[in-house]
Amino acid sequence: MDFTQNIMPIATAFTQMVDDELIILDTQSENYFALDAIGAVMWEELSKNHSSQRLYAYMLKHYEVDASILKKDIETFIQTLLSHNLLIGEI
Amino acid sequence: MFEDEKDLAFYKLEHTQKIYVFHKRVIPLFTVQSAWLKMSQRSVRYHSNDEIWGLEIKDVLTLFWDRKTQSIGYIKGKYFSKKRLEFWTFHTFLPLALSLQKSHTILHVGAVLFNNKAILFSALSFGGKSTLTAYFLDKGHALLGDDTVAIIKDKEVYNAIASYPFSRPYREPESLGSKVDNFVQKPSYLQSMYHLKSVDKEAKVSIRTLYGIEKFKVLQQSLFIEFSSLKEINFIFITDLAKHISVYEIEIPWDLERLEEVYQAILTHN
Repeated sequence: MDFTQNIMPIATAFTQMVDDELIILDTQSENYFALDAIGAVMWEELSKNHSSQRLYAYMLKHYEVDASILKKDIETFIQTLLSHNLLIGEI
Repeated sequence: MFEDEKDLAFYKLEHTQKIYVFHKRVIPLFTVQSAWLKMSQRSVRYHSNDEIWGLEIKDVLTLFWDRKTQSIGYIKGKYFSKKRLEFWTFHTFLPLALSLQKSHTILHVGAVLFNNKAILFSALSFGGKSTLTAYFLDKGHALLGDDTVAIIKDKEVYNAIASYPFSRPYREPESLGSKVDNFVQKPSYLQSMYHLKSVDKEAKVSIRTLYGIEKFKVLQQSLFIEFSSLKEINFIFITDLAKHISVYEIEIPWDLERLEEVYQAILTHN
């Protein structure tokens, strides 16, 4: 995966925290999704910075995690959200 | 309040405005109509124009909501009866109209008073919420609604507003059921919701707390209607409601003989 391309949540997604989960309503498909606490942080970072590279740097700085595992996890996270059309951008 | 059918019951609740129901002879000109769908064993379809929204119950009656006057009109069909007018108005049309005008959020739940607080029972269709609600009534709890309640936010708390004083534990088509005297007339602080999950008749009664998406889903699925135009408003409402009330799943053995056990479990839980 190319981490240098811009990527961001779709503009039609509404989000709210319930307990420690982020609930997402995609107003276009009218489907609901949920992210756990870590996923919520990643979504927030992508919303702010529009960059998987910056997301990677942020997570590496704030969480104790092996760099290669983190990279793999971010790839999976982004691919999953892309498959549900919750992110836009080229990777 | 039925202006042309004075012998039909009317209910005035604290906090809610009076809504008048008038017999009309001319049907409004509607510009949009939906396909036929099934509701309470009848074919129904929606109609609308810029100002009026209607529900046609095939061959029975057409009800319409006038946003300007906040009143309900109806046209009689060949199988019209006063009891059907009462049923369709209270059971279906009023909750739809109040939801569409965005003044109240209506949940499809049973609701009773418990220690002066409202508790709600949600379930899938034929999931036992009316039966459990009726059991609580037999035990002396006051009724807020057998099938629907309105939820409003008042400052930082959510209140449940009663619907109509009828209980219908056993499904009889186009009937509101039996009149209930022990009926709550004022908004009640909403404490919790129990989502009923039917399990094998030998299983034990158990209660677990729902969090996050599970909690959200149970609340969202209990909405009386989920029209696309209300999706965003309902999302904000339900996620906020989820932050203010507790939601539990209760496993209920599918055996009427064990309702006392279910009742005691909820009693102890509170």
